[in-house]
Parts: sequence; structure tokens; C-alpha cells
Amino acid sequence: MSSPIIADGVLIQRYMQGNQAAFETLLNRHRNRIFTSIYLLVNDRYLAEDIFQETFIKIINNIQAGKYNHEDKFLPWAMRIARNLSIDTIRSRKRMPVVVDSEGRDVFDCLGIAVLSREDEQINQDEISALKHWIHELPEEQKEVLILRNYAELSFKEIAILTNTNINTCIGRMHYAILNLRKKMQKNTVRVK
Amino acid sequence: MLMIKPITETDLLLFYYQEADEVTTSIIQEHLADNLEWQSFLNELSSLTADTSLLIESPSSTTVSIILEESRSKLEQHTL
Repeated sequence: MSSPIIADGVLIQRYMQGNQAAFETLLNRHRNRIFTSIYLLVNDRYLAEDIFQETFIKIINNIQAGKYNHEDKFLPWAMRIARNLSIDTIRSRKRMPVVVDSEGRDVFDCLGIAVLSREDEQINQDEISALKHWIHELPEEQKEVLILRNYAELSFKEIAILTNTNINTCIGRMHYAILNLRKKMQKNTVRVK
Repeated sequence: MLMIKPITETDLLLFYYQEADEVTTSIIQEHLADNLEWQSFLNELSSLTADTSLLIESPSSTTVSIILEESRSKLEQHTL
């Protein structure tokens, strides 16, 4: 018989009371959702690792300082921290010169692709890359809603609060994101297996 | 005459993500089997979600270890 899932709020309380295993459960439960969301927002694996680490260090500090409001859900709260750090990083990166290789490609992007290729040997890398590329080609607002809904698994209401917009705007952006992705997939006749 | 609320793609989108209101949900559930357009839209959504799930990534074990070390150290500081 499987054990019941312990609520995030309970895990946080246990961690505050000195239970390290509770924090590990919380991290393991949400790490892929939060990491993938950051990665797709900043489009750079190494930056995503840094932002993910910084996000969780802020989470730890806030929990231990008693700043976590138990009426909030953990994931939207954590995603707010992750999103703000991602936006700050994107803004500061835009002010930095990009280091390019002899063919004019961002060297960090090349590194990211190389790591991904080793990890994803079993699946068709070209198709995965195409999908990632199409997501990045979406207008910023559409991309953000798609990432927050499909990867962070926030509800449209939670996304509206996080992005300071209304729920209908979020739903509209998601609708257009889906239409645009379908169009790109049909145009390129690529089916991701 | 009974008026049935017209169902839009936005309604179908909310239904797919289980965020549609009760009335919309019951209308869609009731008529879905007979409506090829709705089925097609929901199938597209489902396959798109399956495709996007292929992009799910994990943080490196080094990053996770650093976070766990930090959480342990903060806990020790807090309990001292």
C-alpha cells in the first residue's frame, strides 16, 4: 500500500521544526517543474542551474526566517521567486556582450546543446530542438503562459496573479500559443515522437 | 426552448486543463462523443502536451547537492 502524499505546507512546517528529510521531499517533488520552467524561460542550461540554485536558497532563507505564508501554495510562491530571478537575469544578460564562436554562435548555447545530446540519446534530438526553438519563437507573453501552465503546472488563476494580468488575458495568450505551435508543427510537418 | 451555451475553443482549453466551470464541463462531457471538431481540438491539445513534456529537464546532481547542503546548514544554524 502506498503512503499518502504529504502536503507541501506540512513538509515546510516539518523542515522548520528541524526535519531535513521533509525539505528533500519538497525539493524532489518540485525540482523538475521549476527547473524546466526556468530553463525554457532563459534558454540556457548553465544559467538555469544558477537561477534554480538561487531560487531554492531564497526559499530556504525565507522559510527559516518565517517569511513563508502558509496560506499560499508552495509552487506558485516558488515560481514567483524563480520567475523574478529569471527576468532579472534575462534583463542583465541583454546588457552583456554575447561570447560567440568562429561561426557566430553563442558558445554557451553550444555547450547546452552538447549536454542535452548526451542525455537524450534515445530520442530524436532534431525534433526536440525544433520544438524548443518554436517555443522560444513565441511572443514572450504567450511563451510565459505556456511554460507556467504546462511545465510549472500553475492554474490560469495562479498565472494571472503571478504575471499581474487577468485570467482571460492568460487564457487568450495560451490559446494563441497553442495555435501558433500547431501552425509551426503543421508547416514543418514534424511530429515529435 | 432550452438554450445551450455555445462552446468555444477557450472553453475546450479550460475543460482540457480541468479549469472549466461546472456548466461548461457538463455540456462538453454530454456532447463530446458527437462532436468531431471538439474531439479534434482536444486531441491536438493532448498531443501537444505530450510533445512538450519531452522537454522536461532535471537540474544537475551538483546543483541539488549544493541546495541540500545549504538547507542542512541553515537548519543547523537555526537550531543552535
